[in-house]
Amino acid sequence: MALLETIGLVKRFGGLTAVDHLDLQVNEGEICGLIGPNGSGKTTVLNVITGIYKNDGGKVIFNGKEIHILTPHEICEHGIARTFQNIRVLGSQTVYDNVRLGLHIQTKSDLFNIIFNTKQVREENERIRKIIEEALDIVGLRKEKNEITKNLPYGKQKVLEIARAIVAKPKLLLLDEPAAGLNTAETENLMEIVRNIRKRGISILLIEHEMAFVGGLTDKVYVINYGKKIAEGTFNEIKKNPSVIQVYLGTKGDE
Amino acid sequence: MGKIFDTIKNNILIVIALLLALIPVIGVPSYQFYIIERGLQNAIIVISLVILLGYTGQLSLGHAGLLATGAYTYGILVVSYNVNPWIAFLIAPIFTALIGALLGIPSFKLTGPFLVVTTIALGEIVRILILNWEKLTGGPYGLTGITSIISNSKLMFYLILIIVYFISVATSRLSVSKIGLAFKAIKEDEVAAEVMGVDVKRYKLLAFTISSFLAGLSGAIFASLTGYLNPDSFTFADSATFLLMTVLGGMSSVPGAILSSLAVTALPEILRFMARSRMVIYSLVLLLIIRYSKQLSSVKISKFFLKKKNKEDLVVGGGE
Amino acid sequence: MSLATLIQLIFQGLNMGLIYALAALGISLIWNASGLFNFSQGDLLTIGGYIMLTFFSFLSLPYPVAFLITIVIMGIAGYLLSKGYFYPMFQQNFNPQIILIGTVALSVFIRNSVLLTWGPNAKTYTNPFGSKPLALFGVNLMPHYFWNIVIVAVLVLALQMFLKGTVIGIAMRAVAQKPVAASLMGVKVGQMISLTFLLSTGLAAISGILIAPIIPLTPEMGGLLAIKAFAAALIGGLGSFGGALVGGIIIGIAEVFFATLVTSTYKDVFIFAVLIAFLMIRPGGIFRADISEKV
Ligand SMILES: Nc1ncnc2c1ncn2[C@@H]1O[C@H](COP(=O)(O)OP(=O)(O)O)[C@@H](O)[C@H]1O
Ligand SMILES: [Mg+2]
Repeated sequence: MALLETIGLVKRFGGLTAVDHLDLQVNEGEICGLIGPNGSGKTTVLNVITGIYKNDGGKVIFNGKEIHILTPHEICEHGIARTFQNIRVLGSQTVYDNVRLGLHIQTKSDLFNIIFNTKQVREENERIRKIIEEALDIVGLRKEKNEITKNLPYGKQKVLEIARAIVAKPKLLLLDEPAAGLNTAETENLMEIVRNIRKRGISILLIEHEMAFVGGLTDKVYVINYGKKIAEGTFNEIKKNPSVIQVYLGTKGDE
Repeated sequence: MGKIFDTIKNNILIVIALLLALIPVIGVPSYQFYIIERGLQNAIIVISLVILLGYTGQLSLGHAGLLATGAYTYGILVVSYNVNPWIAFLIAPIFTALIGALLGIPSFKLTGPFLVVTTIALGEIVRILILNWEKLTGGPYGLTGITSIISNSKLMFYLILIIVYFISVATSRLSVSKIGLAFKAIKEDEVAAEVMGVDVKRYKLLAFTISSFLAGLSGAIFASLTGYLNPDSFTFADSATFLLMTVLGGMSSVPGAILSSLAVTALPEILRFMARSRMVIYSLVLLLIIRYSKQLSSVKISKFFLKKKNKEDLVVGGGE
Repeated sequence: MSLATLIQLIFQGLNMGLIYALAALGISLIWNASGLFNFSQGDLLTIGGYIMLTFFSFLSLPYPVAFLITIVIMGIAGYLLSKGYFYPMFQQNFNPQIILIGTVALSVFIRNSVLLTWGPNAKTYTNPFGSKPLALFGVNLMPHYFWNIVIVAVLVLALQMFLKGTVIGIAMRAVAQKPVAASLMGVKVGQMISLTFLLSTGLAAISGILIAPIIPLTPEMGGLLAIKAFAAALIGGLGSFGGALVGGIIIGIAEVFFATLVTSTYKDVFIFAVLIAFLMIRPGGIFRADISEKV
């Protein structure tokens, strides 16, 4: 059984059908790619999976549960974390606190314990400190731990968002154009980070335009256009698919 | 390292508290003494706005209504129902917190001016109800003969001081906690907060509830200090003043909130020599402070505390 | 309810409603131009009323002259307020919440200034349109009902023509709709925002003048009126010209009917409750529904 499955997923904005009866499957341990031209509905798929938008039809099943009826924070609790195409970090907080936000659901301190700064709170702070530092090591931001986030360069803010997502201990990680805006060295580094995350047993669904990135990482790729699936298979298979070449690779012309 | 900064931070609050604790000892004239008490009582409602506005980013212009709720709850219980003042003092903030939770519900859907207008409207509704529910509240004639929690004025002062101190420490701890971080995440990016597992509605409700509890507490102390309540003390202008005190204190600094409450409460009294024009001068000063808040921030006391606090934030995360 | 009372109430409600509408229009104009919600609009209305009192009643100038002088003074004040106070804060990228709080501080400042200048007691002046009701259709209607309707109608048409038909008006709307594009095309954004403030305070002043025959002037009158104007702007749809008018009229008429049919004591509570309910159900108002964010 797939870890994540969308069945006949539909999302409309007014007259526009942004996601059109889409069937996707992400299996445990897999890295799946979701590609398609700009405006084809990729981000909308992630927004529906994470509950930011309510779907207008179909189902999202995660770990055997229907999650399209849940709110975003409940979906997070079920084990899905994500990053955003336009980074959404807390600019005026420190790098450390941004990652700490990812630990929200695992932090148990309540108002009473916090106000009286009980042993429970102090021990928990110590425990999460280790987790945060480990995550910062994975993405290479240990040195920037105490910096105010908005002062970091774009590339570092992007991987910070990944660190924030993985401390939530998700079963599935959704990445929306993680390599966009990164230079070659940063992209290489990012591929390494993504492989590393998979090794930790986290499955990944990623949206990306950078074909080397998709080719180098994914086990399976879905291609969508106008919200409809037009192909699926390994990267090498879909690369040869004529309809894909026509709508996507053809127009991009960079493969 | 963390411990050291922690101590420094707590020391700032302790220093303020100790200086204030000297006041009854040196013997300040009774009116000035009263003003300082009022300043501390205002500090509580300003801290309540620090939590709501400074941390969570929710702007309320209805806090005078919450102050009134706390004050009248205390007053009515004590005067009309002969409830023991201490018990009334406990009930008032709890009841206000319940009312305030209602104030939080619109924040699920509304932001910016939409929410602010809602809070103004709710504050006015409270005031109009007080004004017209004469049997219970005394209406425009006010509610008189409210007994204080403690009749000895020096002991009362120390009670207020201890409450303010405790609230300050608790709020600072809240600020660096999981809850404080969730509040700040909501302020900066609700979508990111929600996606990272923060139940945004629940936390907004929590922020409004905590804030209202403190506003109600401030109200009960107000009733206890003045012994007399009148709807004119709880207008939009009062809500505005609390907001301005919060801004002046740096929005998210607890020591800043205390100092600005004391300063702004005393300002009209310091300007007393200007007689009738003092309120104009006072509001003009507030206007100018807002206009030059960016330039002022380099020298502003509040900024000093904010910097401290930020460092502290980092350190709770564990110093190297 | 007899037909006569019905007509009477509709006229009364329409009158208050148009006054709310003018103030709401000012709020919407500034909101469009700068994204600022002006919480001092009610107090600008108050001070307009008092300036009118000074010129018309104390200095005994003819009504139209006093009317014009008041609008000019208030317009200039609004322009300077933007130039000297609000626009610099936009330019220096202040936290929008702080600028909003600036309008709150302004409201407190105006209230105290009015109190200092004109004293705390309620002030009225002789109704320039006469206080003898006209008997029409068997109903007693005050002459200012008609005058107010005519004045507001003329004003709204003139404003529409100005915004749609003149170079400055078009530039102002361009700034409101696409500030970056407008500034690239050479429109002086700061100037246009300041002109919007001028229009907005002018509108507030006119509401303050027109309200005088209906309710007496007091330094705090702006408080309640402001919330009604906010309600009008929000229910109509913040930023919508027609919305402000429709919203104002709805509030005015709802208020008068509630006061007469239910109780006048809680008419304000009723209006505020309607506002809150409306915002919860349709936060975008009648004419502009989209305040959601794209992720
Ligand atoms: N919140 C929204 N409201 C209206 N239309 C939207 C919204 N979000 C996305 N769309 C539209 O849906 C389509 C798909 O957008 P998106 O999912 O962002 O595409 P992609 O991520 O593949 O570039 C686009 O036409 C876009 O304009
Ligand atoms: Mg996208």
